[in-house]
Amino acid sequence: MNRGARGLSEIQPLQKNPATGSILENPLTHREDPNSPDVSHINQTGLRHIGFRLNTDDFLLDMKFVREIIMLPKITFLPRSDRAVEGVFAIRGEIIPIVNLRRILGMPEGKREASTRAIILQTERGGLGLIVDDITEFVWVNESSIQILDQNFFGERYHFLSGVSKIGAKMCGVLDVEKLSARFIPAQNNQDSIIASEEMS
Amino acid sequence: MATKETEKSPEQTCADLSESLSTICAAQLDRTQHNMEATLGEIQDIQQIVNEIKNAVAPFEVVSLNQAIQVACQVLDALLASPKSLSTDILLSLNELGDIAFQFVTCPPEEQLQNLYSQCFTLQENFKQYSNNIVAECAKIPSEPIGNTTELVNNETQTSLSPTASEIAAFQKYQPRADDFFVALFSAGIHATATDVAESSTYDNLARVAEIIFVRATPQGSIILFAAELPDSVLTDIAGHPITAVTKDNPLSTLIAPWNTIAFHTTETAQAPQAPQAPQTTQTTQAPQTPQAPQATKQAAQVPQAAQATPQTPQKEPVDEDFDTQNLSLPSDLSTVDPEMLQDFLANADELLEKLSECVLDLENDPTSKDAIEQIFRAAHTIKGTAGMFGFRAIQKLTHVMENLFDLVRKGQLLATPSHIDAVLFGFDRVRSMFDLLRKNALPEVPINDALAQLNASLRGDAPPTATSTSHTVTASTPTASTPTASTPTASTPTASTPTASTPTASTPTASTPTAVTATTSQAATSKSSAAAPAKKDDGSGTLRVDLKRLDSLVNLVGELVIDRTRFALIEDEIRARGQNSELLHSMSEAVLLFGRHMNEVQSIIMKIRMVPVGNAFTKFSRMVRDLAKDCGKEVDLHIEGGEAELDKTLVEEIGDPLVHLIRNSVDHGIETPDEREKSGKPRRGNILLRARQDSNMIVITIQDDGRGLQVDKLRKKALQNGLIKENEVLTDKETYNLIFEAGFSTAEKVTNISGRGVGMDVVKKNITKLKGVIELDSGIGEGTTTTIKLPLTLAIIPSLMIEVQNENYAIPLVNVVESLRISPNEIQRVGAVDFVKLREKAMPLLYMSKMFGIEDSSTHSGYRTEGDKNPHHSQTSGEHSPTLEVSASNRRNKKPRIIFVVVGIGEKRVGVVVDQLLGQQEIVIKSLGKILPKPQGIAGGCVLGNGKVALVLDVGEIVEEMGRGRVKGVYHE
Repeated sequence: MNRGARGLSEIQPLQKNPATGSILENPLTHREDPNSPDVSHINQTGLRHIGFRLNTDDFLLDMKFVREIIMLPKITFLPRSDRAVEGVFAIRGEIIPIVNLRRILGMPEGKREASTRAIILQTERGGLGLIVDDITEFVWVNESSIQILDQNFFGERYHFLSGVSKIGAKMCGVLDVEKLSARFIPAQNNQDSIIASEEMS
Repeated sequence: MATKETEKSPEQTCADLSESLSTICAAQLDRTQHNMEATLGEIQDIQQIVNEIKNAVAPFEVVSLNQAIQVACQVLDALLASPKSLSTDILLSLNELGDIAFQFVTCPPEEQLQNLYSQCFTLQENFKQYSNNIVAECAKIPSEPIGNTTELVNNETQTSLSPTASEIAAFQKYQPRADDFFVALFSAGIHATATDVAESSTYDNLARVAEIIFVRATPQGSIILFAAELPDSVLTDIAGHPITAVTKDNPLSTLIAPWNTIAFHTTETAQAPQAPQAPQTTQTTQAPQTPQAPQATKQAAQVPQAAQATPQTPQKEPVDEDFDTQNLSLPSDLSTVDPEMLQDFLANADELLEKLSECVLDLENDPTSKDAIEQIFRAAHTIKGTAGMFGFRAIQKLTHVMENLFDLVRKGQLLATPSHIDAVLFGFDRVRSMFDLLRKNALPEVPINDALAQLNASLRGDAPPTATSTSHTVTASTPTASTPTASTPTASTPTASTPTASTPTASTPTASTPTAVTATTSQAATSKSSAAAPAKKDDGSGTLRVDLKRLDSLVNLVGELVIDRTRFALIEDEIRARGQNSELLHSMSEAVLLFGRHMNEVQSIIMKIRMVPVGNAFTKFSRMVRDLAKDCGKEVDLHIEGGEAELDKTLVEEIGDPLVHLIRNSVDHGIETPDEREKSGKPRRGNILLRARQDSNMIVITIQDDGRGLQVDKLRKKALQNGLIKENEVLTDKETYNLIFEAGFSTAEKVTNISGRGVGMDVVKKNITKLKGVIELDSGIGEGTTTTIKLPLTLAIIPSLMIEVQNENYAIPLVNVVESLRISPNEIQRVGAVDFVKLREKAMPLLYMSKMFGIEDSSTHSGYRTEGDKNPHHSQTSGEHSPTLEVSASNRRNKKPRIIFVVVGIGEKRVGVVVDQLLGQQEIVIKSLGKILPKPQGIAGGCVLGNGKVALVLDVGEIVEEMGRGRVKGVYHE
């Protein structure tokens, strides 16, 4: 679990960066990793990203889409919806759908654990929750260090990834929030497609 | 008969003359307000009428009256010979003269005669005064060759080209103020006289956006010079005539002959003593010369009002003072209007219009209703006044004409006939559409000429002078009214130019201030409106307009607090269960209890705030039914009952359209023609009863007509044709009636513009269902049709039945719940793939929720959703709202398994929804599931439970509909 020991040259923890103080305002988002080395002297250009873990894989997500990060709330099953939708939950009176990325990626079903979090994204059409197994890091990522995935080469399930970060020892999938939320826009808003997708599942 | 008429004739003619004089005076007053000059022809018209009056009253030998008329004639003569225009005072006095003459002729009682004599005397003095002033005025302006003006008398069409004093004053007034001056030039032959120009549509259109300064017509062509703050291209569009911009210094010098010779000699007016008072309208430039002896009837009656009203509404004062600039600038730029004030005005005006329509209809039913007339008059006046304040000319003008009409009605000089009412209602429509435009931040540019024409036509067309003694009340009261005026020096600064104290009443220097406009009728309008406004406020006993958005967020927040309260109760229960710290727990319980109590109170108050009487949506229907019935050639009365029942504001707004459809249907299809009705032994007049009543937490609105009723055979045939039902399908009558709610169903053989396109009822049902309501139809042939709409009182909080299926909670709105039952599995009979239950001799299909929603599919259950502290009994749902209806102690564990189902229904359709448990009734705040996901079929939304978890709310309408189409998974056993 010593993530800091990866010694990523271009990834740095943002906790030490005063410029990113806003991220740390929410205590829930503030996950102090005592093992993080002080690498604040390294390049701070690029976009702020948040790193999270799903199953055994690591992902990055542009910070600008993140509204907040909370403990996994109680989730209500939402029938007749996309398979990837775990259900809905309520936060401060707002009902937000929450997505289980494991389903999209074909990973084994996960389990509620102490480190499980929900990242609430802010999209054009409202809030959207993401279940993640752990929050790993806050980093600056240069756009140039993201390798675009060839959409034709990878399967459809990877469409919500905009690319793979080449930085560090481990490859991280970079999430494309717009593509992810677009996944749920019904091609045609009739129930047949919904039922069909339900039956397929 | 003929002799009788000749006998009556002096009175009759006098009444007619008085009438036409007052009409002309009113028209002139209107024009004067808009800075239009009275033409010589018009003055001659007045003179002629006055002369006729003189002749008419001569046989009565009333010396003082004859003298007064004599002097009036002199004034008019002087006017004709001078470049001066008619002033407001002269017009008012003339009007009064007509009234008095009429009263003398109708032989008033002795005690009134005395008053009339004194009035005659005052009038006479005033006219003398005017005459002196006019002569003095003429002497002051040597540049006006007398020979020229006398020539004018002989030849109307030859008008002097040089501007009159008042035109110069207007020019000077707008020169520093307006952005630009413009001219509209007309080629020869279009307008013969200046009057023709002023009556042209171009003039009318321009007058609404611009200040007309100068109008002339010559054989070579005609011209309008005006000031405006719009570009010439826009003005060209508005006027429908090419408009040219001209310089402000010497506007006409650049034009072709003969206009280029015209100059507005500023030096000329500088000699005139009133020049320093430039910021005055044309009619007010005269004011200093004409001491405003407070004798004029209307004026005198209104000034005390104004004196009362002004201190109460101080905020209106500055606007009043700036009336002219507002007039000029506002129509061109709406953004300068204080948006909040405009909003207030619009909201107020809406109410007033609504009230007006109502009263006008009252008036139609009872043309003598004093109360209705007074209310109409006041409301119209208020609208006119405020519209004028904002500078909305068109509205002002239209309401002014209507007000004139009602003034006549009020005075008893006119009996409101249907044609009047029609014209007035038409005018209201125009005004309303202008308000709508304003609301969209557009300029209120709606053609009003047609409405004006209709009003004037109705005024002219039949104005039978129904001379009654009541008409005297207004004028009779004037002597008393004039005394307070004389004693109050009108709080205005007396100017030095006025001490022409020749008459006893004029000794108090009145008016003639920079706000001299206020002394004229436009003041009367605003002062009256401001007098009416505080009176209205008193009735409301301190009401407050609140932005609906703020209220909504408050409602939402309270909804959250209600959830929080439940959460507190849960925590309290948990602590109690653990048996910890009993003392602390005790005070905690107390706090929670208090919190709950206060919360309940807050909630009920908040909910009440949103409630408005449902009658608000009903008022417009009287008018609608009246118009519709007229169109259809039917006689229909609409009765409204229970309009005071309260309903959520959004619901009241939303319910309007469906009701319109239903009432239209009743008028168009339901009620028969009068002849048909007579044949079937019914009274000729049809009745529609619109009734609202509260039934526990629902509001029930019924629309009942005594028309021909629905014909089951016809409906069935139609439904068969449209493939809505099958040949062998057996339907009850009620089921057949409700077929008309199906899409594409219409029985009307011919499509009228009122109804019969087969979309109406379909849409009605959709709208009602959207509002979580239920609509049902009942009918009897020849007895009429009754439509019943049941609606929840509010959309924000819905009482619901909480159920549990596979450890998931769902809410079913109580509106849709018929009953809940528990049966043993062997009562279920399978027919084909569908399970049925026999319930009171009726087969009820069963719907397994777990199957329908795929909840039992364990594969969809992920580890993320299952929680460690799983508690199957969500105790919060069996909260304090009501006792749990039915709780089966875990039917799965029971040896004798029981099946619980909730009978839900929409209209006549019933479905039994099989659930695991009933958790009781709870009030929920329904929330949207967000826009990211498509709305799942059968789910209306979600609500947050006391434990913070979301429970989904079933959309029974969708489920039942879906089932009807055989789509639902949970019904069939595959």
